Amino acid sequence: MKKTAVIITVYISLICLNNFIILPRNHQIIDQVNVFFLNISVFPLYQLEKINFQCVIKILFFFIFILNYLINDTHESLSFFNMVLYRTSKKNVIARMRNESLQKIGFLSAVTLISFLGIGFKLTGDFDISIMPIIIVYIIRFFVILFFLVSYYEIFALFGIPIKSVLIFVFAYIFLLSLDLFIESHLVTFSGIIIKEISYLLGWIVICQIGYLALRKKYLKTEDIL
Amino acid sequence: MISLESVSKSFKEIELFKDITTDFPLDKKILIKGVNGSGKSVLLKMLVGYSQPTNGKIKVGNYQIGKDGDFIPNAGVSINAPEFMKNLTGIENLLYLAEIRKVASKEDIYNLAKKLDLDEALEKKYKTYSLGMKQKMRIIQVLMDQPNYLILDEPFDALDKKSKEIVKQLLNNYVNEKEGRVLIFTSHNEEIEEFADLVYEINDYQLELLNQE
Repeated sequence: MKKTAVIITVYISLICLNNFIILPRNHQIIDQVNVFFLNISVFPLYQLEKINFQCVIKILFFFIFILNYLINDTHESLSFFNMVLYRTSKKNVIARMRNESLQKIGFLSAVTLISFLGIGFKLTGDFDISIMPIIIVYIIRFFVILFFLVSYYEIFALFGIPIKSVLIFVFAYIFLLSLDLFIESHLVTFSGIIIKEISYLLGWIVICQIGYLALRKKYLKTEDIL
Repeated sequence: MISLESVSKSFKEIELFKDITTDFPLDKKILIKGVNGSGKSVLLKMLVGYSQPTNGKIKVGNYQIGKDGDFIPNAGVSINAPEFMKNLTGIENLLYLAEIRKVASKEDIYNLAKKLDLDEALEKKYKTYSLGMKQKMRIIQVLMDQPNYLILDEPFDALDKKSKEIVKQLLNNYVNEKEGRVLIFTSHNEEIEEFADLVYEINDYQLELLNQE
């Protein structure tokens, strides 16, 4: 976990430095957020093309790195949960796995937020408290999506579905990212509007939770596990 | 008593068991043998509740597995050589599991590990363990909660001669020291047969009792 936190901090530092170069002088933290989390609606203000592959690759790599870290860990622990399972119940094991993922996601989102704000402040000298809520809401939204993907993957793994199924999540994210780039829907990218961010956050939680409960119900009924 | 009542099991078009009815008595060490692919592990998984019979019931006393609860109650299970968390030490892994039932203390775990000559290694990370040490960890996790039912898949695999004797003695004492305990295990090792009180063989979709004490 510590190692991952260091990698995230280093990665975010490099991204912020890169953004510092491509953004106009005297930019603020919110501009760093706009560029890193692909708020393409404001890209023309920075003389950036709306479909900027460099920026897309940066966020995609960040997403895949965190997803890979969380899922690798899940796969490793699956055999271990073989020994937890018979001591409790299927429901309890799912709840345990979920709680552990939640703790990790909470930690990683805190590291991301602190690194981003800390490095952003160091580079721009800007610390506007009024923009904090929107940044926090977006980062929570980003990690909520990751949390649900990991929760789905854990249940897939308990079903015995192979590790390759993770590619479905990566492709789904790329698809949503593409939609955002072409129609500016901001489903997974930063919108810069607090009401929109809160609505999307709640929307994602509701949709993902429904999917999660359906998958969990199916698992609880399944006859052969592990 | 663990009872199988008209148990059948098939996966798609592969039939493994057909209408098996048998009782596994308590206070015994029961060996299940069979050729590769005969369904030894599947049978153990059904006894635990990891796999449900296509037809029939499995009962432990009056408790029906899959109906009264997901899994066999009060059991110690090791099937398909489960792995521990590689970045945790041996003792951290075992304490995580012990915390679920809250039966075994740290001291109990160390006492058990001492019998298996693994006590000193418990402070080391699991990823540094040899195959034999990993197998001893599985034996400890099975016994530490003092369960009544032991369901073990190939418990003597990867153990050297001396360790095999220690594990045999440990399991034998465990079953005999208190009434109502049973050990059901699989092994492909012929010499282990003498250790068992009852030997069953999976043959032609059935469970055939080969010996009686």
